[in-house]
Amino acid sequence: MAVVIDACLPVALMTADPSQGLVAARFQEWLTTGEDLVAPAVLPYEISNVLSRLVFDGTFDPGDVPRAWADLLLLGIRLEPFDVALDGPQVVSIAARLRRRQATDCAYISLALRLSSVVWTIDGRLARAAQAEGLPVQLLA
Amino acid sequence: MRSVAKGNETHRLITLGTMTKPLTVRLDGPDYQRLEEEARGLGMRPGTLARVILHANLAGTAPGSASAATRLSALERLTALSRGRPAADAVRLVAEAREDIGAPRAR
Repeated sequence: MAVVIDACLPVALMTADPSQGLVAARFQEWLTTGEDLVAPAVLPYEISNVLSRLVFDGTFDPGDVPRAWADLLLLGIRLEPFDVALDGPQVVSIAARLRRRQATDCAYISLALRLSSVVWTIDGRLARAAQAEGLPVQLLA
Repeated sequence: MRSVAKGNETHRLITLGTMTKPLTVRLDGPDYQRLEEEARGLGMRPGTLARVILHANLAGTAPGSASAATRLSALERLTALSRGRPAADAVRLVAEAREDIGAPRAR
């Protein structure tokens, strides 16, 4: 079964996030067992924004950016394009259920529903809100 | 990047700037167009994507066809990037990135 990777996970790998060890251990397991890692195609844009902010703030070396992208590509996270017919209505519906005004993270949940999979995240608020609505989000803990 | 006319052919030149060694690569039109399209899809400049692809191949394999060992090495290198860096909150960083994506532009 595919594993939907929330953007928080690769960001936790590249930064000194307290969950980094936990996330790295789970990735090791997924990579060793050959899990199909997927994310919506918005993932690179989110990571670009995060890296831009870190570089701007002086907490990430600009010289490390190409290497970070190369290694992110090597992790083999497959990017799924937005399916307008399926994801379009579903993402907005999920955002409404979670009472959110922006829907980017709902694209991850929509993809998980489309693939009969689960979104893995370290975002506790997202996980709790989604689980309360019966949506497939798993908190990595 | 610049275009150079040579007889009936036009070559695009991409200079891949690294920290110490610049490299000029000559691409034909279709290859450059494909590189540009792929880069646009990833939100990168063509030169940056070319450097990423080159790095990935030199590391032993192309992205997407990497062995488990190569992928695990990539994982190790990614976590090494944060050594010596200040503490970060990945959830907050991504939340802000998502707000940026949806932020209205000033008119």
